[in-house]
Amino acid sequence: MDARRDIPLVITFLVGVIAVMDYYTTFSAVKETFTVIKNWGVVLNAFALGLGAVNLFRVHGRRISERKRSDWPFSAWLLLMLVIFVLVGLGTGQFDASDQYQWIYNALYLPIGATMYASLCFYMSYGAYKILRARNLDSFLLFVTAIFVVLGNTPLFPALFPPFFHIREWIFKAVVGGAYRGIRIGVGIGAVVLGIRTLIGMETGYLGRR
Amino acid sequence: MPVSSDPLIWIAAFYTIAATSYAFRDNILFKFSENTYIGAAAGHAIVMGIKNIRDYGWAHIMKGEMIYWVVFVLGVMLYFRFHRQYYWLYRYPIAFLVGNGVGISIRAAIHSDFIKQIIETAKPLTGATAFDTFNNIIIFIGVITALSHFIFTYEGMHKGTLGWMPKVGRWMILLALGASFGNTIMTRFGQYQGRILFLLRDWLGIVA
Repeated sequence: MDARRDIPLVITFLVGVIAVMDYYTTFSAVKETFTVIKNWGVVLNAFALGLGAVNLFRVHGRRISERKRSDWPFSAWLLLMLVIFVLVGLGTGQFDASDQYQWIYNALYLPIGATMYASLCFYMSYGAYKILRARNLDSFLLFVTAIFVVLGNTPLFPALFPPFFHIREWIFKAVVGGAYRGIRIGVGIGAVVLGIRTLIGMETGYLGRR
Repeated sequence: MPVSSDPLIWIAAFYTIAATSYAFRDNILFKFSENTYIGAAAGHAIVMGIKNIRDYGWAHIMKGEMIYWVVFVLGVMLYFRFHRQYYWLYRYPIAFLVGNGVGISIRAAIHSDFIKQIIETAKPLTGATAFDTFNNIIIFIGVITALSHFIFTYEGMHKGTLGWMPKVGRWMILLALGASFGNTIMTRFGQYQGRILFLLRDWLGIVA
């Protein structure tokens, strides 16, 4: 057995099978083992976040030390923000529960995150302008439900023309409900097949280079 | 209402405007807010990660469950990814994470994407009213035809006698995607409205 490739495949198989068995059996040994596996998964995910931080320091640290790019001060600012969050979070000993942490979270992280997410409305509107044109039957179908949903969501159009609201509701109930259910069943079958292939070692991309 | 005197509100307002400024063009203010956000997000993730290590790992060791030392060893093994010779050691914790993720996604997919959706579909077509019956028929047609659109292993599915089914399925999917797209646009506009309201109400005190 090759310790470099075979043992990881065995680990994947055993952990995956226990996770599935936990759902379909009532054996206490399986339940207890899966509780440990779940906790280990949370801890390992946290360690993996550190891997991302190391990469950030490598990439931006190089930019700062080389100073070839004109935007290197932004890299320094990025790392400073990272360090400030970690120091405030760990320094108070209360992690995200301290007043100081909540202050920087509400002043920096929350407004920028919410604004960046919301700002996508401009690009989506532009995308809608480019895409939603009735060039052929397919694009007409895409356009017709989109326009009914957009207009049905505004306060003005349902007020002027009440059926707009009901048409929007009907589109979601019957058309979206039916088609998405078909898509979900298809996605479910795909996820199970891919999962089984991964567990039995037919998909090994996650192991990286040979 | 007067303009806010809270420094937190002023900083949040500055970053709200800076993050929005990209809608006009890429600029130094946006880059500043972008890098602030990435640094803050990474820092926040690390803080929450360390908290999780304490709550889900270290707390068990403190209770005498020595088996939890293993996960700390696995966690350290992740960092061998940067080692030239022993990089392959990072495969052990990755294999664990993949096994755990795949196992959970298989059971979730079977339950919520497969069994539950079939149970919801396999119901009598007749409803309480004629309109309910009509809706049930539309839903049934939507499920069957959309599903047929994803059958690629049988070539005859997309040609000949059965060829209409995936075609209708594609139309149903396009109708559904159009509705989802419209809904997403309106959701984002709703969120942007929230940010504008923050500037006008919490920062400038113009609206009540």
